[in-house]
Amino acid sequence: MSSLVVGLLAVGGVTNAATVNSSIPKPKTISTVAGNTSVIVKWVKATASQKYKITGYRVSASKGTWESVKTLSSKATSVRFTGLSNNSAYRFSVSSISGKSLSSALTISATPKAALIRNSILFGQPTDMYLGAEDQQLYAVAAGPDAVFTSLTPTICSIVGTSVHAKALGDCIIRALAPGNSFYSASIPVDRLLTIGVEPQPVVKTLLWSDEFNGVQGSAPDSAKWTADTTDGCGAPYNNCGWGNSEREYYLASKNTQDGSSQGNLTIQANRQTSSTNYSCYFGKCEWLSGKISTYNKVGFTYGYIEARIKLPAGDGTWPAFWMLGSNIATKPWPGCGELDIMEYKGSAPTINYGTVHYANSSGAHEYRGGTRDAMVDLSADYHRYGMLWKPDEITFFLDDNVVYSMRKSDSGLARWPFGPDAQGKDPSFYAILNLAMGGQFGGSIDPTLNQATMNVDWVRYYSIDGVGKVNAK
Amino acid sequence: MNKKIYRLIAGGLSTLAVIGTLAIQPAQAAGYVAPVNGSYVMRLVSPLPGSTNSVNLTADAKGDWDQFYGKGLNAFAMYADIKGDVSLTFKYTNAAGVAISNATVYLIVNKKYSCSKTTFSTTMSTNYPGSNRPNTSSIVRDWCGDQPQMGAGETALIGRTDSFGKATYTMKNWNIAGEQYPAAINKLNQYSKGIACGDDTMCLQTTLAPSMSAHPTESAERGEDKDLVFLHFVNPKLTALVPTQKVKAGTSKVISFKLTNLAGAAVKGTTVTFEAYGEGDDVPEWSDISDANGVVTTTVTAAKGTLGLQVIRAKVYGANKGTDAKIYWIK
Repeated sequence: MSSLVVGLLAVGGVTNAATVNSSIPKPKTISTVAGNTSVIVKWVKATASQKYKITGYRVSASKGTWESVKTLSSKATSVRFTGLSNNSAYRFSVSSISGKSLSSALTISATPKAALIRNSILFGQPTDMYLGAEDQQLYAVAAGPDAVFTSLTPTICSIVGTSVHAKALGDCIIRALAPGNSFYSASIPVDRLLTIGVEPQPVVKTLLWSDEFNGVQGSAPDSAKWTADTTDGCGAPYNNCGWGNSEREYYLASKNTQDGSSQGNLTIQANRQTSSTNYSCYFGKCEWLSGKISTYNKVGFTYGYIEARIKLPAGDGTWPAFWMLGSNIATKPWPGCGELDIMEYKGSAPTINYGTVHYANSSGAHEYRGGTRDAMVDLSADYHRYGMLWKPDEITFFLDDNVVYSMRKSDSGLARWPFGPDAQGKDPSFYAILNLAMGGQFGGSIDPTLNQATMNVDWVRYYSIDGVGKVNAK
Repeated sequence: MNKKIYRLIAGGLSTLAVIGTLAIQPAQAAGYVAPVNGSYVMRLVSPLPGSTNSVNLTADAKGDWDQFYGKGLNAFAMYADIKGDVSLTFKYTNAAGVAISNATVYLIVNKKYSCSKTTFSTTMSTNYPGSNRPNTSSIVRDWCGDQPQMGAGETALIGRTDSFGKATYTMKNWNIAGEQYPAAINKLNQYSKGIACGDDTMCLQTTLAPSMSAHPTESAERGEDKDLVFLHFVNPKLTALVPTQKVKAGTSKVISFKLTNLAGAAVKGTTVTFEAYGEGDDVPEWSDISDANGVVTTTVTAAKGTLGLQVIRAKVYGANKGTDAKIYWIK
């Protein structure tokens, strides 16, 4: 038996000067859990012998000349030391106490440290690349150490420094990982996919027809291109009172004029009439005079891209439109001839543009499909471009190059639709229409304080796309 | 999802005795039609779903409701911030992997029959079923069960693919309260039931499906291999700046909580309500709105001589679950 005297706090009946007796059973194991400025010391209790009853445990923490000692009951199996310095090694000892004597000690070292913060990362979406393009710089912001990039698709792309290099066609997946250090643990990895593709051939857009409306002030639009529709729709050749929609306007050719400005606009003006008006409508004295022109019997269009730059009228009840009808309407009445509403708008919803496709279903009944785009700006406040990309099997409407609505032939459920080749393989022809209707089923109630509304058209242009598209005489 | 889900027949197994050997094989519900490869493939590419940011539910879809889609159906649950902006990019290819470029494509939001209670606004063009001439950029919730409005919320965002076959869809969520902040973004929490929430008020998800058609027929959708996304919207994470503290009775103490979003950024402008339990006085401020640092505060008081525990519970307005700060009133 060996014995020595150690310093001990006078707690639990053990004096500062206790004798170490190696025969006293010592704790079986010792372990530590290091935390932020603290360490928890754990041990497995000693097994008391017949001779030596365990009355407690003495646990100490020390570093250099500094020491902290805790005396605990025989039931204790752990103790926490706090107020320690992070990143500094401490020595911890546990001895069993039996009466006034101590067992030999179990010792262990531990270093308290601040809890690691998980590194976070914001990894910007890389843009898709064409094969042969310059390497693309990758961007990632990490809270701790800088991100490291790895290609998860090394046959498609590789990492050069902090850039991605395109090696082959396909989908390239880049992983960004912000590593850890003494303050941070590594981030959760973030993966981004970019596609390596072939640079497409540019679309060939060829202007085939246009009207810039550059005529002198007050002149009618070019009669080689446009015909004015007149009246309220009653009577020949229209026989369609209220233009089929209970509209409140009466069209006059004189309401369609060119403004002679440097920009050159077509102006379609609607004016409220008084009870003294000379014009009679299907409902009585006409309420509004307005204008409508079309290319019917002048020029038709087949496929391609048509677009108009228009400033729409303001006011509840206005219903301007830029639209097309099948040139065969005389022999194949609506809806069989088809109708393409590139732009419809109602002044009561001044930010919304409507694009609609009308046709006859397999039973010959009218069907229509359409969509809207909320421009988030008042469309009557400025000019906007309203366009239609027409393919034999797909119609797509645009507002300032943004899709408004698109319909494929397959959506119609028809084997043939009026916007593609007929049974004989003959392509359709459609004519363009510009008008300003008032009220009616779509325009809704007209603001009683509204006395005038103006629709300005800067131009109408028609293009072939990649050689597809043609202008037809009539 | 947008279809009736046919469950496996009760028991899920049928037994077949073959020459003295008992063989057991799975059986499908009557009417189950095994999916075939689709003509189109459409995958979510941003955010790219993976093991760290999503829950892969594809296995749940197999052998059951996958019959309504192409064979390459995947299903993912992901999280998004309540009232946050959502931006999802899908890649559209044909079956051979060739990008479908410069084409009009769709993302169906609040899919019919999905019981999606989410509402959104969008600056994108939209297409609604039923009335096809709407004049709103608002996307309304879908309805559950047999209510006549069921399916009314389904909306197709209209996208246009670029030369890589990708289209990005954006919208903003407008729900007031979301699900409880998840324990991890790659695990379903108990409030995120993965697929449909039903009318569970603690679950808020939208079912999203890319498509080549605005409102595809079942046969059309069977021709599409796609990623279905069940996007769950969660409240900001509420953290007590000091979770536990001792305060001398007879004094007051300002208790602060911080709100952060899924990216860990502070969330400003969110209403948080407070409740007090245990010792001490009731909280004088019933609610607070988070400041630019995402912090909300309330003050606790206790009369001199009060001893014991008081729990201050903070909840994002409308949430079912809260975050606690503990005050031990001492002498």
